[in-house]
Amino acid sequence: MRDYGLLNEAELLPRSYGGNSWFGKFHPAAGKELLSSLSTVIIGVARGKVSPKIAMFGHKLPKPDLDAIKRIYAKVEGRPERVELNLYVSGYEDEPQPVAAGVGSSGEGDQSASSESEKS
Amino acid sequence: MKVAYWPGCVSRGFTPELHGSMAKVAPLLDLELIELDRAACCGAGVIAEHNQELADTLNARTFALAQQTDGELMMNICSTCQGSQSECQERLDANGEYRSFINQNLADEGLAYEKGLTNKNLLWLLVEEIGLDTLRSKVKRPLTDLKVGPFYGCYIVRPVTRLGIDEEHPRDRYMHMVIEALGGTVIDYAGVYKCCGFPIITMNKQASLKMAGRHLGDALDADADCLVVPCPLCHLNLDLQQPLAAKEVNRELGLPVLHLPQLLGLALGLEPKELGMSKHVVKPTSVIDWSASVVAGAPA
Repeated sequence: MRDYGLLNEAELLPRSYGGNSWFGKFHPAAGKELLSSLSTVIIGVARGKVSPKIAMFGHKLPKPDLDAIKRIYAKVEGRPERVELNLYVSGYEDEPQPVAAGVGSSGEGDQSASSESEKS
Repeated sequence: MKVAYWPGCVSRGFTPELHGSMAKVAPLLDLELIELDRAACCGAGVIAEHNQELADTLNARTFALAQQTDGELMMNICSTCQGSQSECQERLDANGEYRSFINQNLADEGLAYEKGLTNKNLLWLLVEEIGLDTLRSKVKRPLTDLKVGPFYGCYIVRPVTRLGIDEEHPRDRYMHMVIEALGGTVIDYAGVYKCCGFPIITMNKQASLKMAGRHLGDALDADADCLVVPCPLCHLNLDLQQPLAAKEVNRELGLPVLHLPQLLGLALGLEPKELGMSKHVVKPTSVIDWSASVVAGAPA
């Protein structure tokens, strides 16, 4: 997605097994997986469902838009901390319960209060 | 009706017949499509898991581009896009401060998303904007005797609250209603609302193919002539991978799987070839035979 601006289905499998680059398809682990899907690919190409050009090189956004997407990636992924808005989990966990007298405790379960970083 | 049209990635990649059939069907439904050809992938929920701000920014950019058009609303033809965009939009609309923060990421392109975009999958638009009565009135070749199994998949039916599914908007029944409006027979089977298996195909191909094979087998056992899907990713697993799925479940399948615009196109009078059905991995023989027999049986 960062490289093309669009999802390239043909890259899903090789990049999952052979590393996140166009050259992933040449990795032996990816090669094995690709081989097991060869019959599917051949039928898809024969029917005109899958264009060999798109299968090999993918489809891309126009350059100015792809550049904009790359800038967004660089800016967001360059942040030292993630910014998240969680609409379903908010607030603080309950304070740890006081330990009853006579019950041995090493302080386990004394979790620090945490919250989803909510920007509101 | 003019709409900002988001075709998604897969309809322009491995399911070109989806994008092509939508283009053919749109004028028959009086839809004018303003294609959002500058917009990026929705992230399919995967990017949101990896980095929420990134997914929200990419989708806010798409929404902002849609708002720059004079379309009445935004329409998509991919239920995975609908699901992931709805998730991002829910956050963007819920919190003004967060929305402003995300919009800062778009500032150098002069874009900004303003709260309140309406983004509907074609299926929702058919029922809620065009209306079933109007749709019925446009049918030229009723799908009489064609037994169609709806396959909703995940993203267009779960979670119900975010997707606005309630008594007033029974969106999880819309495909049933559309098939009936087109004159077809709805086939209910076990897989109607189940996952096609695509999301796990790179992690566990065998389980993924078994899921697809089981749903296809269930539909065949229920006597379906074909399935119809609102999602191109479901189509990849149910059609493109069907020969491998058949091996996994150890039975012959050969069940045609149609995209929603293709089913519409058939009823609106288009020919299977015009709708790109020759590109399918599973030849839609039963649908083509049905189409030929209807045309042959029509009065001269």
